[in-house]
Amino acid sequence: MTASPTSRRRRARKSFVERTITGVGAAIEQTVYAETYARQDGFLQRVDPRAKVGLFALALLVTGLVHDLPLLAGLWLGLLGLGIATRLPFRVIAVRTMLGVPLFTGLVALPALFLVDGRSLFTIGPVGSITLTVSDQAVLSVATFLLRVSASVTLAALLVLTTRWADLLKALRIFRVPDVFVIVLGMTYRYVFLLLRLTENLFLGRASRTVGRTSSGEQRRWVGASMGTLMSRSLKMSNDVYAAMVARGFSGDVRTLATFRMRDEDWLFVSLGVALLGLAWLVDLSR
Amino acid sequence: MHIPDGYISPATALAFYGAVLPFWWAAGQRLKRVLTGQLVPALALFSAFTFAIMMFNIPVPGGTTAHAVGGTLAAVVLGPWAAIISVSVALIIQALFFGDGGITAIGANCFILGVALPLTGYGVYRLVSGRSDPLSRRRLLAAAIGAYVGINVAGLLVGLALGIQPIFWSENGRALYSPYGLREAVPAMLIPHLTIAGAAEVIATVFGLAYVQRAHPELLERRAATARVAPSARRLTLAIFVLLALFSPLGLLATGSAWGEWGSDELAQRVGYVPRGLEELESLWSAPLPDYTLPWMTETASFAEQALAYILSAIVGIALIFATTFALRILLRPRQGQQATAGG
Repeated sequence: MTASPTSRRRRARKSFVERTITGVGAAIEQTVYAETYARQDGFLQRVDPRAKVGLFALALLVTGLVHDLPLLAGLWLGLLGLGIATRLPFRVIAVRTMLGVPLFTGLVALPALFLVDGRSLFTIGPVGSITLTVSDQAVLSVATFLLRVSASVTLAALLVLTTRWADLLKALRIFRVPDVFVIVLGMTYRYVFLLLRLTENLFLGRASRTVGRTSSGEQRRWVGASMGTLMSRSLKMSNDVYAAMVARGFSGDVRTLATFRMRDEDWLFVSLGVALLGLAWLVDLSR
Repeated sequence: MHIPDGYISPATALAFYGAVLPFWWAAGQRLKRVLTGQLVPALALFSAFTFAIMMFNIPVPGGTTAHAVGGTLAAVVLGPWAAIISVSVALIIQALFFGDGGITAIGANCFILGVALPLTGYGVYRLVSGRSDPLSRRRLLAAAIGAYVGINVAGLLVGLALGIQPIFWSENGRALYSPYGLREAVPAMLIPHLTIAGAAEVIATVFGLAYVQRAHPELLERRAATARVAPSARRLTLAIFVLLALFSPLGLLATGSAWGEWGSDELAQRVGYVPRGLEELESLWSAPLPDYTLPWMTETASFAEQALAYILSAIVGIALIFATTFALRILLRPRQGQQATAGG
């Protein structure tokens, strides 16, 4: 938003104010786009949310259990293909499934190349007194880890990018999540954006009022006070929201409209998906 | 800090789901009584608030910035039960919609950040603050110590959860999940939490609480008043859950040891790599691995070093858990006016 020219100029030393504004902006932007893709027409977007949530949960479990490295790679590539088949822009899939968590994981896993013992493949050094040895098991471990994380992240991203959040929450009921909890999740999601906007305004306000540097003590007091402000506002808001709900006839009981209907295509999707996942599992067991 | 998908095995993830469910249930029951009809909007707003403060970048001494969880702050102002639910809901929303933390790891993240952190933080806070005035400076000190201990318990638990992965889930020397053993994972998690993340949490908690003391003292006074009423039935339930909390990390290790035993037999027959963590494990779990005789295990030069590192982290963990229990015991004590000061 408004902070971007400044942040571009001084990327090296962003202040906590700029970082927060950028972070909040990115979070809001990300969900807005996710909702846009979920509203587009596509193969996965059309599937009944319950069928999708159930099958994706199973897929996450299978991805977690698979041992075989080529199978994991196959799963990941298959999911990328599914993403393209359901008409998500490739750029979005790439950003979601290769940058972010997988990139972070790659950095995290890098030292493991030298730390996991096994048959030595090659050595680097000696540089000074340090010799780094890369073993076959280390390479396999890191590859397994990266592929598993990438496949899981792709699954989660596909689910979020092709399901509207209200549907996703409603679909949680198939896991016997209590209604009250689903409603709390839904309302939280709504108010997260309100409070994120408030946060953004607090920080933007500070950014536009501040000239030069302030002491670190003042910065900390201000951050603390902003948190306190946010807390008291949300407490007050919760009273107001409750009053508004009561005024509209809320009695404490939660009732919802269940409008989902499984079509033949959905059953086909579920049975095909379960069969494929079961096959993957069997192949993995036989290896 | 949030564990993503694929870092921990499904068995670990499931164990954490099992550990967190009783806390959610207990918190839900408790809050339903306190908030009655207001439950839904109150929890939604608390959770949204917790979500928002996790987005704050906190300026930490040394010129860098870090995020805080705010679990201790939420527990001090809103109460520990509300903190459990609101941090958990915020984490679930992050995992489901923002890709922050894994979906399979929701149980683990909620147990560590949503239950262990606020309960430890709040327990230590109550222990240190004793019966002091809710608006006193001692409360700020208590919140600071609570926040610091809480975030480090969380860091330690994440380190342990990741560190046990290659011990129990390796195949022919290939780690199937997070590849780092306890010797790497625990320090890698504890060092940033003892320094930067710990500082961010303390700053957020202290300055946040100081503001509430100044601007909304009625919130803290009301909490102090309600905290005094503690029906004995609640104490029993609480005691059960404290026990559960204490045993859940043990349970993780115990179910795992069966896996470890099986894994060691498998590994013993094969040539090549044995997860380093297994050696650490032997120093602690000699019983499940009685005739586990591997030639390279005894000749490792750094064995004493590894054992020491592991024992040290275990001592830190046990001490922190003891502090928590003690703090919770004081928290559970019925609050009568004449009773002696809790924290000295």
